[in-house]
Amino acid sequence: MQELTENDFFQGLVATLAIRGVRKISIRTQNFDPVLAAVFQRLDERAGDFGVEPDFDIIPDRIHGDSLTVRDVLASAAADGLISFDNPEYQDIEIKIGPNGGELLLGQDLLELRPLFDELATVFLEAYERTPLA
Amino acid sequence: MAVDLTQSERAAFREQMEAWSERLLRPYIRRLKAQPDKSCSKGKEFNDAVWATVVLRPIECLILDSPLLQRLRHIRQLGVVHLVYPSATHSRLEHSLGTVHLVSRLVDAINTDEKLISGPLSSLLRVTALCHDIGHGVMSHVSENALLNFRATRQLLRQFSKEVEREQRKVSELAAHDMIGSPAFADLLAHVQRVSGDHGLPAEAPSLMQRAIVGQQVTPSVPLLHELISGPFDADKLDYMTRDARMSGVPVVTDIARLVQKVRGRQLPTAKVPEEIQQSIPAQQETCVVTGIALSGGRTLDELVFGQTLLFDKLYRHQKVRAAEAMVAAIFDQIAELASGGELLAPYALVDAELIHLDTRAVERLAGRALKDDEQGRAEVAVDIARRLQERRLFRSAYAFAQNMPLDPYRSDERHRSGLVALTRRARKPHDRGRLVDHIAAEVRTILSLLGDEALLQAIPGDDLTPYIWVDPPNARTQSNETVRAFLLSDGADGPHVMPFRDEYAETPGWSNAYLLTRDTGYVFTIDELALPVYLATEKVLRVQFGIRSPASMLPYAKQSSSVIAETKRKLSSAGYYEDAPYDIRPVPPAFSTAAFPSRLERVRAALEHYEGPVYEAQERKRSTVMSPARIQAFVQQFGTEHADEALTMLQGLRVVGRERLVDAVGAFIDGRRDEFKSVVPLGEAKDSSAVTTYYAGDIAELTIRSLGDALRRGDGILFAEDFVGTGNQTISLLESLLGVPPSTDLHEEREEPLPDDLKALFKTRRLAIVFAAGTSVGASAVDAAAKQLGLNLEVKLQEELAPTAALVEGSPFRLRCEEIGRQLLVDQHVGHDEAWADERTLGYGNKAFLVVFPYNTPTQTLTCLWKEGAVDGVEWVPLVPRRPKR
Repeated sequence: MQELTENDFFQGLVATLAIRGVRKISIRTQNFDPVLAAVFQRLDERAGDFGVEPDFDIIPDRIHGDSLTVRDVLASAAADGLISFDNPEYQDIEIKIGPNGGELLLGQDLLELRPLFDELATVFLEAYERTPLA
Repeated sequence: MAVDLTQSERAAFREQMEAWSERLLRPYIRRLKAQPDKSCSKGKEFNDAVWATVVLRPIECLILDSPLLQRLRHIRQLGVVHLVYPSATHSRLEHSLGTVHLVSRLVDAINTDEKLISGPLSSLLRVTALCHDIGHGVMSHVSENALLNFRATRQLLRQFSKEVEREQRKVSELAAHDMIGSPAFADLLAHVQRVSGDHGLPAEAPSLMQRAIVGQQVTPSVPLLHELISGPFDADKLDYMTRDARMSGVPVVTDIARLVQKVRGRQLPTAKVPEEIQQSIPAQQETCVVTGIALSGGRTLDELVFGQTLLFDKLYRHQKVRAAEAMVAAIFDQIAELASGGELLAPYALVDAELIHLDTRAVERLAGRALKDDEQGRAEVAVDIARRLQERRLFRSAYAFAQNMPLDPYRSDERHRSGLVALTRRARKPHDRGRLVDHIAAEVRTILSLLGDEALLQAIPGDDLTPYIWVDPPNARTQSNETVRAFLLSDGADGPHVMPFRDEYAETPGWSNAYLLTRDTGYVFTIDELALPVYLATEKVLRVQFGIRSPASMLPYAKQSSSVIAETKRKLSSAGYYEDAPYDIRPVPPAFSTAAFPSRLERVRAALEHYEGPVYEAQERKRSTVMSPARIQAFVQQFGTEHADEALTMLQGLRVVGRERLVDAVGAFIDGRRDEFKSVVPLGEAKDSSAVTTYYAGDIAELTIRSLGDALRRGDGILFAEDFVGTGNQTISLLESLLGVPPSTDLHEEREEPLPDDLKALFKTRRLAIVFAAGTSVGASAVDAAAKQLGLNLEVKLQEELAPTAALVEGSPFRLRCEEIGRQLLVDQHVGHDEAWADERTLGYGNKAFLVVFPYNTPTQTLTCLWKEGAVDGVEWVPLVPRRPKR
């Protein structure tokens, strides 16, 4: 079974959101990290159906509400030029790729997981809409 | 025995750690029982290189003397860093003592005004600090990270994360957790309490220690107490930062004394603490002690982040340190699975000196048996790499890459960028990284064979190159995430206030991440003798598999010489190595080595300075084509050694027809006739370039941009401003469509709606003029003739007549090559473009071989190979000035 890293997960999600035309997302810790944890939960449940297995966890800290994994993937995605943080508050991210860029990113080696990422993007958008972030 | 992801395997690891603790501790406990250590009866004072004096209590001395702790004396805090920073030889034991010292200072600071942390809790913190690193194996984090290359490790950490409900990434914390939870450790604690007469530890001390080490809450009465061991400004961090910097000779800016002095504790009604802390406190609890940093000391946390960031950049992620760590990982790859009890026990079967002096017998001791034949080979490789470590013949960088490379001419190229993202992502996955190394190793073999250097392979044990090639991606962990969890405390008139640091210093993660992540570079490490072939092999593999281009600016990071690379490439090319390879990685033609070459490139770049190229999506604006000498060189290199020089000469004749030329052309035409023409109108639809050129013409103050209908309803003359005329067919077609006349030439394009009859009549009577900024007199004459035939009062003006490029001499080999390239790019059976169709435009539409470019697009009349992308001779062809495809 192929392993899926936190960067695979987040890049696949960002690519799918880009394809759906999402441009800006609030990442205020107390709300965003639990949203991503909920998406991860779905991934964990469904990964086996797609022949993959996560090699990471997203478990928000019980006191602080944040996830170091989430904060790391955000920083990595920014370094990769996939997202940027809004200055000066760093409370929003802008997705720096458009639908074409999303397709290219998925096409590199995540194409077979597209239905999975579609599902995860839906979970993300639904959970995100329910938070005060939206 | 490999540990897999099942619960039972998690239980098996726990049992192994318990057995390990039993083996180390039981003889010591028996010895203490038989002969109590009197030297510990009064505690001890240690001289410490960082904190001057560290004081241990008797009970702590007894724990320190146990083999579980003494083992840390033989494990270097920084693993292999001393191979780069010679004085960084301090051990985990020194760090553990320093952590005890600092946790006491933190407690003292919190208890300054009032004893908020009790004696038992203070004792618990000290003992926990002393034991927090007992889970470290050989070479500390180096072996810990090496273990992450094993799937079993990663899955075991997942199980552990679920168990403790926290993200856990460190095997050392898992091991420490299980060792402290072992029956042997509980016996040790019980016994040292009896021997020392110190019964100050809380009941259930081992489980509380476990909680603190993995970052779980110890007690709701002091809900953040555990963070003094594992948290935003924990004693561990404060010691290792200061100690690592001091012992390495690397200065850092963090003022630890000031930070400790700013640590605060306040007893608060539960109702007044932040909601996130309340969630961890039982409903009936009325007060709690909150720990944090005084509001006035917030900057000390920034300093902490800054210090960590600099240390990661200068020390922990130093490329030579990473090269040495790659060697340890390579050793683990060979022998860890041989370890008796499985790979996860390998780090505990050795100490640093044994690993660095590894021999086959030591591998057999690790395995607990004689090695089988196939295992002998792996052992030999591990021993060879260990010997290289011992002799400090370290791996070196052969190739360097990063998402943001300095002076990267392809930074805006979508395929190159997404290729780098994919490379980095895959290189972080051991399985994918292994496949990448296999490909590189296969190319290295080919290169060595073609160069006649196979003898190099004889020096490699087992004839397997893969253990000697290590892809180490950019992978710096961000350093601010834990620290920003701190709380700031202030004393107001209405009592203490608590606020999250991350709200007050929202920018801290941004700058710290940006500093580290934009500097972190990926490397391909190898042994010195393979550095050049590994560079050439990696360049080819990354170009072919990922579309990544290797900018010359990265050669110094890879410690490679461009002249040596050029010479070797020429040899390889003669031997056929680059026959199917992308043109841009082939050897640079000799003509490029002349002193005049850079200035010739620069002239072309300057001519194309205002070229913008097509942009396919607004949000990807920054990914449009950016012209640079490197791009121009790569383009002409596609013509091969035979024609590259002629191609560059040809490019020097490129003409960019931009805003200035167009405005000059229109201005020259209406000079003296400004009362005659008041309107400038786009000829064509909104999708056509005339919308842009008309906008440009609007720079002339006397001209007003109008729609054709509005302009026709006025009485004055109407001007059309166009960039280029080739055959004139397109302009004629537009005029015909406006009048509803059947097309004289079928251009296979959508036609504009005819004008209404009233406007059609006006169109035929008004004074019209069309100005072409550049083009052919043949085309201008054709438009003129057609206008007359259509009954239009149209004056045609061509400002600058362009001739086909002189660089393409009829029948010359270079012209024939351009035709061949154009033909290969154009023929596309899927859309019905056969050879006959292509033959009419191999040198551009009409085969006129024009060298004209607009800032916003390139006309089809321009030489085809300049704008058409595709494949030539089976290899990708990258145009210099791509055209926006018709939709």
